[in-house]
Amino acid sequence: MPVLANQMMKILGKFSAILVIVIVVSLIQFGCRKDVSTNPPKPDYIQLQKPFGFPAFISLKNNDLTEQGVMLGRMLFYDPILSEDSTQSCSSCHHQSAAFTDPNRRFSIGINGNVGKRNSMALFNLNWHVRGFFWDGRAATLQEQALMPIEDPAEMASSVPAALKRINGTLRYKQMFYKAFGVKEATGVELGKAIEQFLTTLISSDSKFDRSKRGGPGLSFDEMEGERLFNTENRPDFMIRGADCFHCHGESGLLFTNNEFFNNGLDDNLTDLGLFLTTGKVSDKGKFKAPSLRNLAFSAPYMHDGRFKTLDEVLDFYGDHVQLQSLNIDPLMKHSRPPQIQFNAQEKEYLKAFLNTLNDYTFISNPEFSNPFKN
Amino acid sequence: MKNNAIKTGGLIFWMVCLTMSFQSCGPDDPPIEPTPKTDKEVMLDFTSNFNGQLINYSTSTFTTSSMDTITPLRFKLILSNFVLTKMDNTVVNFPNTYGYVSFEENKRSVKLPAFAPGVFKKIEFQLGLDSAINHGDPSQWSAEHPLNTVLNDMHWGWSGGYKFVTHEGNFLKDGLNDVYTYHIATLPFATSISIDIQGNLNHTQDNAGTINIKCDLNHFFDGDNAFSIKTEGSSSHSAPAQASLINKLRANIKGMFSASAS
Repeated sequence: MPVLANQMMKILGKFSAILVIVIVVSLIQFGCRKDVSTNPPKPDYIQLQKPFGFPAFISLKNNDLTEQGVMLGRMLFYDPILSEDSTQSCSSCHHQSAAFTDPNRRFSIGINGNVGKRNSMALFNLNWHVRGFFWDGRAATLQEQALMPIEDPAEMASSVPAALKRINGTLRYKQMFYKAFGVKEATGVELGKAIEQFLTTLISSDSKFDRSKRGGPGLSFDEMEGERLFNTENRPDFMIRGADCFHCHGESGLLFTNNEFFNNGLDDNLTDLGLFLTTGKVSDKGKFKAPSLRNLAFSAPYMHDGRFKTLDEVLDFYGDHVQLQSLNIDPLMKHSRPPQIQFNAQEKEYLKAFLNTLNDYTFISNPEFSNPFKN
Repeated sequence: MKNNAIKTGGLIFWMVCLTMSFQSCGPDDPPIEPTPKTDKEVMLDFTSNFNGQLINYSTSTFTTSSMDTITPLRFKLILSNFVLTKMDNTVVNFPNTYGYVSFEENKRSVKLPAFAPGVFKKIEFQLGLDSAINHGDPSQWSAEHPLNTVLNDMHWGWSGGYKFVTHEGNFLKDGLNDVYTYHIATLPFATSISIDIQGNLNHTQDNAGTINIKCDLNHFFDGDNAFSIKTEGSSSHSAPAQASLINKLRANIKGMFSASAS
């Protein structure tokens, strides 16, 4: 028995020694190793400066702005890699020089030569859009909106998985997504977030009107008269002349839109049902998002279908040709009841003078928003 | 010598095991302190109806006592200066509390900040704002604040202040669709509302309670004054010259509200 016990002690002792060595070596390994996949580099967070007179910023959902995210989004915005044949980028239909619309084109053209059905919307001050994106509000967030053109047959005619395959097959983008979001392979979530971050930085707030509010040179007489007309209801019963623009285009601080959806009486017969296509509510037929009236000098043509080439045509419509029996015409168009507003020539000039004070030349030439592949 | 090595190895093994077993024991969980009781907030829950009937804004049609056939589209309120009155007639004021109610958007809650327990018999508030707030910088408010102009579209522009009450819709005129728009604004037309709370609000630290405020839109046209859209006017933007029309509506508005507690 003692011999057996001794043998067992020998084995146990050797085993113990080996086990201790293994444990110590393992602890040293785990303690020193940095797992790349669980410790991505910390991105550099950005705090946007709220422009004077603008409402407070609205926080993006789960998408804090970072330098890495914004730069990545900017590159993706200008990179045709998103489209099926890699010929078309977001910027193909959203030119910075045109306040990020498609200049002088009523409908944009996709990669297959398909013509779109709605006018390309200007892209600026998007952070304050809380009621949906696109003319018909079909995207609840910018993250959603950014991905829809990729899959639209009339636009990029691809799919998000296919676009991601191309992106994840590019070493540069793999590295950029890792730095921005800590992922080794981008998904639709990170793709949407990156573009959302870049779009959020597109802030237009340096027009002549903005500068006048900040204490800079004031508006001219004509411009001030235009502003007065802009902010006045037309009340012939009280001998008051007004253009009544502010109800839809002025009531959210200096955004020059309240981002609501309205039928403004363009058509008696509705060929495009607008918001109804998103909500299914009959009462939303013919309603479209009221766009901002900033940067109109760069963003013609106008309306959801680009039917008006000039501001004169727009004012002619609002002054004389509102279709009062259009289904769901908004109550705020009441002043267009007969005999309608009927702007005179001088009033039109005043209004145009004021609207031109909302053009932001800094915005359309800001290098931070321009094509990074050309720098 | 061999025996010593074996013994030492065995000893090391058991010491390592003992050490690891001590490591796996965390510190004792701290004793659970009872949560101290604190004052609680109270929610005001606004709902609308038309003479007791459900309103589906943009689709429901009603007939007023003046025989106007209407379809309400929008009904919105800006509220301030909340006051709760206790059974002993002492009051609790909420001077920096504001509310935005939009019935068609189903934005119907206003939160009163935490206050001490008590039994309350009456609630008062103003449809409107004090001058400094009304004409202050509309961009000062945070993103979720009721007076943020992205959240509500009640601001009338750089110098105009806020609309206090907005009621817009369609009505039939000579068989054709026409529109009505009533915008009650400017300081002279702010309206004070006082409502008894049916059943009283028993506000405690265990149960904050909710005040349910019902708004009968029929009263807008049929309160103290029977108001005809067709004959008295289908719109107002609160110009001084419209004082007669606005004050009729304000008198009606005062009787629109009822309150109960739950």
